[in-house]
Amino acid sequence: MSSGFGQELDALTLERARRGDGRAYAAIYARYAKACYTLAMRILGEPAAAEDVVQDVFVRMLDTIKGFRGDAPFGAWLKRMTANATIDVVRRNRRFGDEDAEEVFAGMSALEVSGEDAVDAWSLLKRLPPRARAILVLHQVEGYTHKELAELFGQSESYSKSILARTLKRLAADVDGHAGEAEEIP
Amino acid sequence: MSTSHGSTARVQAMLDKLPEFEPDASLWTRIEDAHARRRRSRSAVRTGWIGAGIAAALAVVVLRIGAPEGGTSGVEADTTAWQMQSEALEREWLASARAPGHVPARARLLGIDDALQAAYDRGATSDELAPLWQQRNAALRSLIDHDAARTAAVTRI
Repeated sequence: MSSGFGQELDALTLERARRGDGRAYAAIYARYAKACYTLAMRILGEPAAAEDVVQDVFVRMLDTIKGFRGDAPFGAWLKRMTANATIDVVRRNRRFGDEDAEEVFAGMSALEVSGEDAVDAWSLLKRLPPRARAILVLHQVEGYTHKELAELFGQSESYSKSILARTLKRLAADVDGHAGEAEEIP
Repeated sequence: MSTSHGSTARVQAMLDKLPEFEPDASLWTRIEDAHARRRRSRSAVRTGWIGAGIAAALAVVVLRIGAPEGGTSGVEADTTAWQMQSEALEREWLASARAPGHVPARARLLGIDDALQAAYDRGATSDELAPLWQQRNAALRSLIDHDAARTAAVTRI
């Protein structure tokens, strides 16, 4: 796993948290907050919205940790909560784009990447529509399957497959174009 | 997907370089506050339900105490039993009475009745009423026995 959700939570901290120990809560936050915030930021691209997601996820986690059975690793459980909360924000707010796969890229001109932006992965990602960014990050970075993405978005698997293919094509064109430019530099 | 394997690899390499982000340092305090608020809110709701439950239970108790029949204390039950016995004895005595009957016993019965009336008028408790009903029953039993003895004597003559 490439993100901080892959970190293990020791059994003692988990047990203390289940008993309502505030220091255990703080320890869990210290370990996973960055991973939660990073995932939300990569998808939403707005610090305030990403912080709201982290707050929502941690408050919910503190409420439900007593019932956490440990069937899956703690980090995977928290990642799922974070992804769900983030996609909820995307689906609730129209400013994060249209649901229709064809409309996701509508109005988006060529990425027009050049100069410093071309080497900045985050700048490339930020230029994508939020839904395209969400599917790209969840599939390519966090390892979600199209079946899981279909459940998350309440759409068919072909929805995420279609958006992911177009997103990768755009990014590849920009990366390749920039690579070409770089090669031209004497 | 129409992207070549090399392009996909380059995109993946780019994604692997995505930066990580640190949340604002004050976020944990906000989360703790939000969590505490939710707990207080849930606690208030729980307290409200418990309070409503206690109020409902008290209402049932008050209604039971106020009801003329049903759950009464031991002394109250005794008073009611003495009163019922007294009514039965009075019916028995009236059925067998020979006027003017045993004058001292009748005077005693009248005195007890006055005391009972006064006790009820001042809202006396069952503890005070029960002995008076017992005294009345004893007086009635005495009158009944006296009348029975007289009847037996007349029969013998």
